[in-house]
Amino acid sequence: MNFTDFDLDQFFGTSDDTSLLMTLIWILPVIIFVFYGQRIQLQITSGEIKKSIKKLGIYKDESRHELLKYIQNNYSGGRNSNNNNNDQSFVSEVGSGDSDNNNNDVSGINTRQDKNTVFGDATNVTAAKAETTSLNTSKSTLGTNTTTSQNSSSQDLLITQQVDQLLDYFTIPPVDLDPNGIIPKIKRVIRDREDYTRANIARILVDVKERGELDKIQTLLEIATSLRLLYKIINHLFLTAKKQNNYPLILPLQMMLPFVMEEASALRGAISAFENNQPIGDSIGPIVVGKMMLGAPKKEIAFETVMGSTTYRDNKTLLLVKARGPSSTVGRPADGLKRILEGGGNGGDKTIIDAIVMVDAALKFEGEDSASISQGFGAAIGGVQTERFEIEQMALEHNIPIFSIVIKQSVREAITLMTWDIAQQADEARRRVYQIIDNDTKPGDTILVIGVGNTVGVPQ
Amino acid sequence: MTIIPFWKKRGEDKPLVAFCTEKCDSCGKQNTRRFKTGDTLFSKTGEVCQCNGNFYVDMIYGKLVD
Repeated sequence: MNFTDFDLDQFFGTSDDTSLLMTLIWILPVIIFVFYGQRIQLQITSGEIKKSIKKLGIYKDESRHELLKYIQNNYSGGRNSNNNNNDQSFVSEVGSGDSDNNNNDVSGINTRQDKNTVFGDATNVTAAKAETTSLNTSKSTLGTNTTTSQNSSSQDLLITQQVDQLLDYFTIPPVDLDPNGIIPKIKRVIRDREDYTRANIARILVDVKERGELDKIQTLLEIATSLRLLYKIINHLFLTAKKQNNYPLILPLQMMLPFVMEEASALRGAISAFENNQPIGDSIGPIVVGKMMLGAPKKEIAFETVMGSTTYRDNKTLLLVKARGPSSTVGRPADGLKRILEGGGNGGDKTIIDAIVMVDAALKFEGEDSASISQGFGAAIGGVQTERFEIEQMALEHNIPIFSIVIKQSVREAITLMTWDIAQQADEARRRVYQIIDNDTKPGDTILVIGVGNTVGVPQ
Repeated sequence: MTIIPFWKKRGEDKPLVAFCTEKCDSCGKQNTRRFKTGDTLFSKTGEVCQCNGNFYVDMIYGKLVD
């Protein structure tokens, strides 16, 4: 091919035989994209983000609706003024979060799910009863029943308002300009939030007697709150970028939106599992340890945290710790460990722990197989990291090695109904725990095995 | 065979349905059935195996179904 006769005029369309129209078609888009390219890009991106925000809005509304529906189906009575005095002590006990009361019902199984009474239906039932009664009784009786119906609906409205108020609660993290001593501060804020939310639910819904039910409603509330917060943040960032017509401002939003949507979709999908007390992916740790605890004597060593004790070959003692199931809670394993080391777990005598084995769910890397098991060192525990900090601190002070076993899964798998792949790995994970106990500890040792994670649907 | 449109991810429309695997504590025989309200892991189901062993809930898990 000959490149020596290259004609610049022909290439740029400036030669005499090129029409003006063709030149404009060629030049105009260039000019438009130079001056308005960013805005065009902004419009295209905005469209995509709007769709995601709409979806987030739907998730937010659905989660709130599911929460209210659950409350209405199961606790249509709402407030009961006659029980206020009795329940005050329950509220204070629940609120403290430091109770060691073992007498509460730990079954956590929702025995009232078959009730189909929704607030609206309950009102109708009352109205129907009133109607029937009115056929046989005087007008004054009808008047009384109508008043009861009105009272019921106003109470229901009050509950809805109070739940909505709880949904808007926020948490301000402590100042981290001087990070020294920030962990106890974070722990304080998180505990206060948990305890006061639980106490408020118990105050609003006085019919909730079981701690398991309270945990379930609290979890549903947390899901709804998280989705509401995600919606608010994403909407705020989007509207700010639109208001300023600022394309660079929308770029980080576009980049993080797929991750946010994945988490939001997982949170939305988690609701039914929590409502029906079904184990989620994160429950694999408690499943592994829960099965080891079957038949062993158990006691509550920290708030919503139980310990079982068994003996193993070579005169080894296994202390098994998990959150108290089958309610939806992660317990407080760090508090449990502290109590065991201080002697609370063994009738007042300080227990010397020779090794800690932690079993938990962990986020998998992209490309990694779901439900694969990995083994390593260090405290395997997620969350706000205060628990991890405390466990590491105590392990350091008492010179205890920490072994960990993690079962890999995605964000979605971790908080939705446990998949078959993960469920069937429980036996293998348990075998690995015993392998560590056999190979890495000495005869006569005391080994603490902690099943970390949400123990919804997993008893012990 | 169901044809999945190219713009949809595999399994996107399929609901995750809860199943329960019961296991005999004596012979290890397994049964799989749909999850029922009240099913809890490790709890006895009340059913008796042919070997006179008791069935207990061994696994609760979700499966994508059409």
